[in-house]
Amino acid sequence: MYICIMYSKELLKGTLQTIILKLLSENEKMYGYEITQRVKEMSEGKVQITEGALYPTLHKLEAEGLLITETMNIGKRVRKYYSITSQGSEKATSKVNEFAEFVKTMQLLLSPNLNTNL
Amino acid sequence: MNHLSEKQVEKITEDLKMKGLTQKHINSEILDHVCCAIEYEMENEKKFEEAYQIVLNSFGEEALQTLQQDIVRAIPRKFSVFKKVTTGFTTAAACLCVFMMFAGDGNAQEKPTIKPVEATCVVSSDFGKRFHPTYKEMRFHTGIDFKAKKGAPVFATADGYVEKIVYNHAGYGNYLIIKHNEEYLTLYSSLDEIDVQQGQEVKQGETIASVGKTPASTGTHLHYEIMKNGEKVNPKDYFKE
Repeated sequence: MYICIMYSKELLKGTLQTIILKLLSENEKMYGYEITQRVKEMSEGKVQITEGALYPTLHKLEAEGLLITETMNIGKRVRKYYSITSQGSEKATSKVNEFAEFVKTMQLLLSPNLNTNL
Repeated sequence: MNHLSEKQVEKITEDLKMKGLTQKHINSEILDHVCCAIEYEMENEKKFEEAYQIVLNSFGEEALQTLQQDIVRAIPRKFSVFKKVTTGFTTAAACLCVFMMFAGDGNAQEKPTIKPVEATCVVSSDFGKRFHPTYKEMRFHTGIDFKAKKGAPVFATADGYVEKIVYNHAGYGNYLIIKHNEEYLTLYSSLDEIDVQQGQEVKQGETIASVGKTPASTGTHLHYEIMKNGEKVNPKDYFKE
């Protein structure tokens, strides 16, 4: 779904909402292109979100009341800024924690078994 | 940071229109995104024309065609009422409408009132207890079967959105479920090809799939079920023969 250089599509599929909510919970407001650039920078180029993945997710989060938007006219262009609501902020925290728990569990499952009976 | 001039923005809009990408496909938000991407390329020493081509190639014209649709599909149907809310008063009015819709006084087109296949297709197996032709025992048939040729069109029997699509289910074969409202769901199985996507909004009478077969069936047919408030009901009570 997003273009990613380092990680498989499946691995990242469930995390796009978490990435967006976390980013917006730490910034007052951001517009779409800005979000893709910031994620690219923060991930050292390893995660590049395509507009095909970004905008449907942003609109879904807005419809769910987790984000609100405001538009600004820049010459002939109209720029839409997204900010997180308090509901969104709570969701961001729970999703980040959920992912951290998931990582811990995966580490248990995937770490080498050192207790081998020889 | 270089900003595109108004003339350049106009050029982009015109060129996209010529490629069939009008405001219907590229709303102002996506246009702004395209412009930002071009500005970024121009920061890296590219001229306007070259930057524009690079961005268009990386986006892909096909992706731009479907982007707006993908955005609409991403929003769960029940939220589309609230999208129109702007003031407290309209919130109350919208809530009342939604309540009435869910209370069953809603749009008649959300109730499945037509046949899911062409009028010439007859019911080959009724709802309720029947002798299963393959398993050779009495079973409760949770829907009805329409006899139809392979590839015959299957229609959505009411307005709604595609809630679920499953391929190669052991009992149902390829099937899909449409959610119409809080009361009604319909299921269409033994499908050959499925023409819709998960989340897609459909209208009553729209072609959603074609007739196929399941592993356990004796011939090509459409198996059709209606669920009212979670319970399977006799679809024959819902359409006129």
